[in-house]
Amino acid sequence: MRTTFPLLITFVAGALLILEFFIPHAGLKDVVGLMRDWGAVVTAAAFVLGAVNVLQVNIPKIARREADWGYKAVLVGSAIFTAIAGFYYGKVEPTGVYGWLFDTFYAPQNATMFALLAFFVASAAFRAFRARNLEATLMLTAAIIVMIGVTPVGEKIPFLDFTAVKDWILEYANNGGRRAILIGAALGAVATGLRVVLGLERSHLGSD
Amino acid sequence: MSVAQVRVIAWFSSALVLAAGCTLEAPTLAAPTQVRAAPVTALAQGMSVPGPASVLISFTKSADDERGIDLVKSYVPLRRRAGVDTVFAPFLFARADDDAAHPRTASFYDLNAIAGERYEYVVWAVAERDFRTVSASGAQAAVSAASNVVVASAPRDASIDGTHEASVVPARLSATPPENDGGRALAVSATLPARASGVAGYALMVEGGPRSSPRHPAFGDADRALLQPEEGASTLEQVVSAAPGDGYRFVLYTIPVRGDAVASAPSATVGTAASLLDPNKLNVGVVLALMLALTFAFLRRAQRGGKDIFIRRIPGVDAIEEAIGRATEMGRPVLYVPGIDEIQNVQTIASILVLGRVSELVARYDTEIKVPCCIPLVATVGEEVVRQGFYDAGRPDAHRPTNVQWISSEQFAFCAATNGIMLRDKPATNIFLGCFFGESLILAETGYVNRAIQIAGTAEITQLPFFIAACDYTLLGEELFAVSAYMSRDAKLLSNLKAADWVKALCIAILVVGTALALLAPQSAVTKALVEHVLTTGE
Repeated sequence: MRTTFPLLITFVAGALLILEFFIPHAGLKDVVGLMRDWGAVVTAAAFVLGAVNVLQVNIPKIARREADWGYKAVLVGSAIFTAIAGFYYGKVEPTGVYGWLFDTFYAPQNATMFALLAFFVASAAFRAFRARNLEATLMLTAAIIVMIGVTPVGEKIPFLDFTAVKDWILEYANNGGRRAILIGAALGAVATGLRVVLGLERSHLGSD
Repeated sequence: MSVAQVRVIAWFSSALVLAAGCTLEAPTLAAPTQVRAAPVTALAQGMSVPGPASVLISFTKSADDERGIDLVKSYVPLRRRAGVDTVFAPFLFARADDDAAHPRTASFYDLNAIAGERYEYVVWAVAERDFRTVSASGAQAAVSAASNVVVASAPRDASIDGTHEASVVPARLSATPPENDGGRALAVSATLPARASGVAGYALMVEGGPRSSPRHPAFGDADRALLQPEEGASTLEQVVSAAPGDGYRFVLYTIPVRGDAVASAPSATVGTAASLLDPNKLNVGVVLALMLALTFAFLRRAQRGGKDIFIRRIPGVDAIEEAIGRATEMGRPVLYVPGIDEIQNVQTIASILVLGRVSELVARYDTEIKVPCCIPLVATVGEEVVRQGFYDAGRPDAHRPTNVQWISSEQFAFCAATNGIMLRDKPATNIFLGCFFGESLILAETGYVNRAIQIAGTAEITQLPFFIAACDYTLLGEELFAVSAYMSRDAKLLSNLKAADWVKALCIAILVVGTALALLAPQSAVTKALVEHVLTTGE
């Protein structure tokens, strides 16, 4: 029963969702819509568990003064403060305290992390673009052509139309590979979905 | 309070919220009230009044306005000549600016009334959702009581001719259920007369239906209260949402620039019709049925003791156990990141399936696994899966629930925290399987700095190059979905994998044939049939 009941729920829900794609009848769409609403409610309820998880993980570390416990105290304190600000001010005055927290703390830090991406791209490119073998040389050459082609200087170079070559590489060579991976991934996703819906895949339920 | 008790409370609260949402819908939509009409000459000087306006109609909004999301979609006024007309009809109107001091009231200007005529008005509130059921099934409307009778004044703009527009001819109307419809819509088609000057637009009204509703505006969308077809168009086609049932009749009003609207003859009585199958999607059904049939065929062959199902080596998957062994030897944990997308994403599902097998291996090797999650539900499911993995390995005591933690639902907050875990705990093995976006390179580069073995897999095309550049092993797209079957070597899973491979081979064959046809005979009937019936779903 411990594995049968979840498998039954999975099969019924999965079958309904698959049928909904083929059957336009509004009655079936109502049922599936209700299931999606349930899913949204369950997802929202999981945030309560997530909040409990955050406290469960960090408060014992603060109490035991483990390494970097100060940062965890800042995490817990700011989470509680932001939650209170959101509950109270979020609806009454969205541009007040809650908005100030978002604009002053969250947005700049988010932008900072995103900006780090540029430096990580540079270091990864420096490591990856080495002409070790034929494939790596081809990749390096294509990367150089595309990088020059997307910049304004690519249009000014007289002896080779980098923009046209860049466009050809992106539209034909790159697109072909992209679509091949997409088709394979799509079929793999369908196969995985069928495995889970039909109950062939049971690793998430544990062994019998 | 234990985690189990908190879970019970959370689920019970959710059930209560859901039940409340299902039962507390209002039975009927509240109508607008206190509709008052006044000639614009009575308005104070200096007010911003459109030039053609003759009458100002103000009303108190429906009590259901702003209750819930999109409860009342719009308000549509109708008018009739007092003592002359019996039926209220559409007219040319414009919404007046809302008065911030009176948020519960709204106003319209009548833009095509005839000076000196006596009019009275009603206002319809049109809702987006059906109040009888939880889901949307057509518009529902409620009408106010009639306003006072008002004598229209001359337009503010003296250059506007205030006389009735002549020779406005009604349109011819028909209504049918749309093809492949769910039973909640009707398609209305009108043949318009040759566009005479002086036509401002058209308004569609509906009456009847299963609730025998009086004639009311067909659309809940204020932008479609006045339909204006393209210049020179001879037909007007609209799809109107409708409740399941019979007895709908439509009337299309031609609204002149000045004067009264002219109604078309009502359409024939029509009802909705729900289709049971969309034939445009049969091609997808065939592929699905083929995959199912092949799965069971390969499974039967394997169960009958036939030769083992062969799948090629995937170096990245072979490296997982080796990487876990390396982490054990170094005394450092394994970091497993199941992506940053919701649990319903199939990549996250595939990752969670692999997490179960990886956690069993980790338990057998007696090392530690850390699973930072971006979505709380993924963390909840992941913790159960990891616990189950440790149980299956016979090491339930070794499982630490706090190792599976929800970090943050914000992308870069999660990325920063996971980087912190990598830099502090220095895992020897990083496994990134699932759906990743911009944070993928930051995670992979930080892991590279730690000199960890990194195995990544995602179906996100845009992130694969970053993983390939920064990780030791990368699983491309479909390989991510094959990991669970590859690691278990279970006949059921391998047969499903084999079936997907055969369907892929079929896709390749269709691609080759289609490419040849497109090059050699692009206009042939076979090529067109291939494109229309095999390669598209009609959406």
